[in-house]
Amino acid sequence: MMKKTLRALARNKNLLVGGIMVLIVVVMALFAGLIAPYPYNEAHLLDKMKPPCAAYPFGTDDFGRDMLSRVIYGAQPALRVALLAMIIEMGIGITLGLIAGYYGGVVDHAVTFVGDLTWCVPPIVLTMAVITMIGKGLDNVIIATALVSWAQYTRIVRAKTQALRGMAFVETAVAFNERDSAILLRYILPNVMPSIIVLASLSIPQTIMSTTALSFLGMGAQPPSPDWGLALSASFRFITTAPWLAVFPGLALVFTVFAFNLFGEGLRDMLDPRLKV
Amino acid sequence: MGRYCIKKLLQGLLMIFTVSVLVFLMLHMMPGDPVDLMMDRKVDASKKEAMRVQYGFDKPLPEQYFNWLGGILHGDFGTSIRMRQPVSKLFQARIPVTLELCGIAMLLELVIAVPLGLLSAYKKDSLFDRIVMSLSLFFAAIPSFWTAVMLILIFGVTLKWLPISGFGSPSNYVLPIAAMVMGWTASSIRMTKTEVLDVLREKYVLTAYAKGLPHRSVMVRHVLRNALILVTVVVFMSIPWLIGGAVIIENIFVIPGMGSLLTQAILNQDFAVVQACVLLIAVLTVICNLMSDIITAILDPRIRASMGGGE
Repeated sequence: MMKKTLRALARNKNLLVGGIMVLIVVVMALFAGLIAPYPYNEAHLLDKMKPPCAAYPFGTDDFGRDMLSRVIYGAQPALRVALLAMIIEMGIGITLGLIAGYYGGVVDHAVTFVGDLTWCVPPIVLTMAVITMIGKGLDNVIIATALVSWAQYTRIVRAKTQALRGMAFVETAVAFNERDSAILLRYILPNVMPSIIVLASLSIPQTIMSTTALSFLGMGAQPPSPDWGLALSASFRFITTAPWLAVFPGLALVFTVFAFNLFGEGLRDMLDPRLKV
Repeated sequence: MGRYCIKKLLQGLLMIFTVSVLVFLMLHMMPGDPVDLMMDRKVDASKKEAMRVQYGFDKPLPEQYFNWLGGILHGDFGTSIRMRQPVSKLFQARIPVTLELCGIAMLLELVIAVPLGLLSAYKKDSLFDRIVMSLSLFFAAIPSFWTAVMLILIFGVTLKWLPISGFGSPSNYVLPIAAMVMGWTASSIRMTKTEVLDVLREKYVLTAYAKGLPHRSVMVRHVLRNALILVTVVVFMSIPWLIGGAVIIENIFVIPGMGSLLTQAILNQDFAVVQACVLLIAVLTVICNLMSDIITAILDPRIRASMGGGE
């Protein structure tokens, strides 16, 4: 069993390479305090705006803060946002999808309509509109992102539930007079799970990209957070004099998004081969 | 066909109506008094009262909504509190800028993405396919705002070939459009390929092969013809994404378009502008989705047949 899994993993290069890259980001976030040479907020006032050198491999910013440390710590807000937004999206999206797909009728129409509403404005504009109402800040960005993107889960879960409803094992459960909640949670949900996992792993990089974009525009993380989007927007003033401030947070961001994309594609090929591109 | 279009049209109208109600309610769903949100808290009470009457906040909500909507239908989007100008005047100056930017970006995207996606699907698993797919996966991972910063760094700061901000001469367009096009082209290539592969799995393609047609003529006569549907879908699906992307790009390059207007309005709590921008973008997106549904139905008789008879 173990051997078989390992062999499948070795063949699925996307999953393997993506998985290792994701692991690196996760380790960076979890053990930032141990890996980073300095606290992310420590100002070295004598070493402001130093280009990359031995003491500061990624250079320092206008407060003399070590960019390497800030880039490492920046994995924390990125992953926190992605995970929390995903959990809220899944909670709303899966529940509504199961209900709409299983019961059909008016409930289904209503859920689909509300879901369609969230598609009728580009996600970033809708997120910005929600932020106007609930205010700036990283936590609000999480809420806004989740409110805007839950419908992708609903769409898939609803379609799968509709298909599963007619299957013999579900009909049997209905005949045995099982409670609806039991049917949904014990018979249907486990069969929808692979699609949900694939969707989640592909939507994490999207979430990271859009939330860092909001931080970049000044609506998300606020100083002195080490958030990569915020670091990029702060670097913009010094683009002519200190380009290293823009390069490294961006590279970290690209690495993370690429890692999750690869990992997600690998997962999809493994769990849902029909969707393979 | 007519019934299908009417049904879609009604759905779209219902959607726009709901969005307009939600956008209207934005100001009222927030905690606190709308007047307090718009003015400094130190302004004295009588002045606030005058403003409440001036903006009609003393009237019942439905009446306020219809006044607001009526104004919009006559081209009156309210007044920007921070810029002390009618929103419609701001729009007149800024919409063409964003349209121009998005239009050029979309043309480029189509010219690059559709042929590459088609070829990748046609030569699936070949070296060409693998290179295109890896490159598109890589470029799709780069957020447009970082692309923009790097382009500025390379072409603006280091090489000094192109200006890094401003808007006037054609050279100002190059970097923003390049930054916009890169990421979306990557994802559009992947989308095109997926759609073409779907066409390849269709029964009529199998039938064509079974008739003994050679590979090349199946591709040209059956697959490429259906790719036309795909191009329309790509065009209309990209428009909302292009606008979303323009929001970021306009901010970086200091381009006076809708995107930078919206961002400034949000950061300054300038509600009339936020409401008008969101409503306008929503209407545009709904129209795009509608067009893509209807054009697909015209081009693809099967959708017409399955949807025309109602649900």
